[in-house]
Amino acid sequence: MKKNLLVLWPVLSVLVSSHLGFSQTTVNPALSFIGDMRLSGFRHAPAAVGENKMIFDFHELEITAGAALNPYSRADVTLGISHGGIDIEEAYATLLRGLPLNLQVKAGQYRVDFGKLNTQHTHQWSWVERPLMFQRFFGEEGLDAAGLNISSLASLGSWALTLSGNVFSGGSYWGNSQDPKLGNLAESARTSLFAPLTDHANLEFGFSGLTTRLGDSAGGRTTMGNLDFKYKWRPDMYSSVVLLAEGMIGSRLVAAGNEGAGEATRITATGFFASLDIQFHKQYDAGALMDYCRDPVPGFGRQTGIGVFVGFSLVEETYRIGLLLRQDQGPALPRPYQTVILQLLWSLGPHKPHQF
Amino acid sequence: MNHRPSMIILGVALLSLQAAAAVQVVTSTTDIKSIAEFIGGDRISVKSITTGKDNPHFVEVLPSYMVMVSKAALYLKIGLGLDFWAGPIIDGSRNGRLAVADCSEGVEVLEKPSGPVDASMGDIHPQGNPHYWLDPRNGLIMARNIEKALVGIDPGNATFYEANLQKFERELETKIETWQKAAEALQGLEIVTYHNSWPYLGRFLGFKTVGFIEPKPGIEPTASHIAELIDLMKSRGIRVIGKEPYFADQAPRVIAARTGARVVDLPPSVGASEGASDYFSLFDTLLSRLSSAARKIP
Repeated sequence: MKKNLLVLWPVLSVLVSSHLGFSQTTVNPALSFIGDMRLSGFRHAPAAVGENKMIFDFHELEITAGAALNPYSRADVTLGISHGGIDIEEAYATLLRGLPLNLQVKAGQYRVDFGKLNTQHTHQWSWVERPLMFQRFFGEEGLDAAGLNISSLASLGSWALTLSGNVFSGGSYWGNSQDPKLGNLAESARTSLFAPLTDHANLEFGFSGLTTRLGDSAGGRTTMGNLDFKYKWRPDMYSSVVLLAEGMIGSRLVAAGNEGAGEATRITATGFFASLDIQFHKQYDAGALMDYCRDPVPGFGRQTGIGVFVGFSLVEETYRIGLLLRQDQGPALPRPYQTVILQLLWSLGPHKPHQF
Repeated sequence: MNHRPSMIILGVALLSLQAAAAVQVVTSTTDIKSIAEFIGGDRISVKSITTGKDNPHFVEVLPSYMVMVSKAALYLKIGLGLDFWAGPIIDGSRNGRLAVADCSEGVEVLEKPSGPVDASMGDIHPQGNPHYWLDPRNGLIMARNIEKALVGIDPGNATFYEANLQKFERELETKIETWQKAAEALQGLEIVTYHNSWPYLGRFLGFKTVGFIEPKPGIEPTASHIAELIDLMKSRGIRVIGKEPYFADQAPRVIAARTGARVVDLPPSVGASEGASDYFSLFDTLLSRLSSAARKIP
């Protein structure tokens, strides 16, 4: 999905010049630019991660644009620009209203709602990186794909029940990409329940399932499940506590030999992520994370990460300075390694980098 | 034969039918809810997204709000960019038959920026100061907007809404006269407030806000700004600091200790503090607290 910057530059130019050249009423998309600058230090890290280096890295510039297309629908675009080029992270249209059964339909390239965290962009988190299980199961960017999403919202008293289903093509699963040439589709569904416990506290939990047939030599169905949980307590505008946890399990066939000969075996992988984020002042938050993934595919193995983080947002989340200290260990690693990341996130426009 | 059980069942059924028939209305704030309840009476059922205790500038978009709006026939916004969060809630509700009305229509907006606006000015509202409901004369305009919206979605009860609007106007106009007379002690009073929420109330009651604890709208106070504010208050003899209940006490208390001023909790909305239980008692409470503070100025 990587594109050359020059290819999309005319589109960006039009967007930017439209924003500058016309009055507010004629500017349709709400444009935002989010910069993610990092100073990362590594100790005893594998070569692929960074060894013992300390590096400045302008990690990504995210450009978002979104607006109503007409009274019934809207469109949203998110482009991620990094050293690898331009990535169309999301580009989709949503039919918002007017359908029966409280349905909404979304079509395009989007982050699939397999679990809660997969739908979010990394700038929404204090812990900087996408949890290991998403990186291992779906690749560095998690699961985003081109497809169709249909969702419905129902009420159970004051609780909100969301049912969502996806059919899509693409995505990477344990490093094996789904082969679009085979015409295989992936299907996923998610059910989530949001419960306002009090005026200041709420609880959300969800269950997701996914199935697809990969284009590798082993064939067979890949199936995955995900459970997510989030609790938020916000007694006033200066403090909050957010506890979230998400677990994942997946099963797929792997060919026995290098050439695909022999009987294929079914393997199971699991992952878990949990974090506690405490906002103790209008501008400050701090927390801890636990990150785990067990992947029996050779070369990966089990990895466990623990970390702590602090964050400072000067004004209304227009920029955020975060510090993450993290240690990772596991049988597949030569020795435990430590990571320190000092991150500066800034936002130009209505889309903000972080919400407590 | 004892008919009492069947009468009770019939009564409950009729009440249920009446409740089911009530027009479902959702409002951004409790102030609009209070006025809408007066106009709509028992023909409508109103829920507010904010409780009055929340800062209406920052409302998290929650699925439970979307569910609330999904059942509604009418959404009443405060407008002027204050409840920008209402858009995602309305979109998320998937409600194709929802009518949306902006209660700020026809209001004379104060502090509308004349030039370009950007974030270096703080969290400034390009459409002007949005706290217009804090002038009860604007409450009359809001009531007319609400009545018009209710008639639009429920023309069968137009006469009922019109009668209630007239009653609301009569009662509010009477109260406006009373409040203005009672506010004579506040004429020319200079105060400092935390946020720039009070230009409409100041215009109505006659007091003047000459400084803010926030150096710019939405910006946390700094030590240097607090020092400047203390100098200003001392030089002008300002003895009242108004604070919305959802802001932290720390900076106002520090300033009060250095200047001898009193910190007064001013409810900016219905439900923000005890006594402010509807749109009328909101102004009773505000006037009472400000007058009490003004009387104690040596």
